[in-house]
Amino acid sequence: MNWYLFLGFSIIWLILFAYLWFLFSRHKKLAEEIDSILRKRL
Amino acid sequence: MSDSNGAVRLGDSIERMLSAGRLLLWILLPLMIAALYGMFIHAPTERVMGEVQRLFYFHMGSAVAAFAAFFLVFAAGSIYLWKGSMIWDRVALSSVECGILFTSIVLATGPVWARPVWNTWLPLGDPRVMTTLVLWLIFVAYLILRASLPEGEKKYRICAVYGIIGFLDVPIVFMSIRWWRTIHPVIISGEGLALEGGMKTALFLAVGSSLALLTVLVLLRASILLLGDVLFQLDNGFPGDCEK
Repeated sequence: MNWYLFLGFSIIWLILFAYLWFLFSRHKKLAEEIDSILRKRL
Repeated sequence: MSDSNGAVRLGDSIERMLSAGRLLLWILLPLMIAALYGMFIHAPTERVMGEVQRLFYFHMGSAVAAFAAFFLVFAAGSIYLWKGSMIWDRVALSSVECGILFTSIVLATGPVWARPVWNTWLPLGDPRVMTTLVLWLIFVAYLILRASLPEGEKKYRICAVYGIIGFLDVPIVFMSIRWWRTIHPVIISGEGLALEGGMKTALFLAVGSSLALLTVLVLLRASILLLGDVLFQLDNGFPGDCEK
């Protein structure tokens, strides 16, 4: 039973990790794009 | 020209926050797996309460993370009032949101554990339950206050002061089970942690991973808020102070 709970929560955590990684990467890309626009304006 | 300069500096801060968050996410990946292993496999089953006691690791890990988040609201609010930098206001707002999330986990896991152990879901007369509920409401009110005030520095100052005063409930929540009559267990006492060895390891891992998750979430949320500010500034010219 506890092994199932451990594996279940680990899978939930891996999905959350993948989502957080996706959010970080997407926003970093967005930040870099905005940065290049701002530097062109300067 | 100066607006663009300020926005570039703000953009650098956002990129640094996102890089730090991404790095921490890789540390959090094995830490969380280890914490789950500690909670479900390594920690022994409690003799009287049985398997339901394992909720305690989620419960206390989230409680420590919530306290840390509200301390961050206090610290970021104080720095905002001192320095006037918009970044700290956004960090405070992100910490409030994450603190509410972790307090909600505490308030949800508590009754699930309490029903078989105390034979009641939510004893509102208990000082720990009541003060935690008040803490949750104080910071939900922070969000309502923030949404109802007109945009500008005055709003940020009011929210910083409110967050600093709201934090005063955290030591009351912590001390409530020591000051007043309660049925809530006291885990941390003068003699150390009232836990068996394997349970202590599981608790430390749970607290560590909750704190790391809090940091990751605050960094992500604050950088999203700041990105919104930079975009707003690009469109309209921001009246705030991102150059400070």
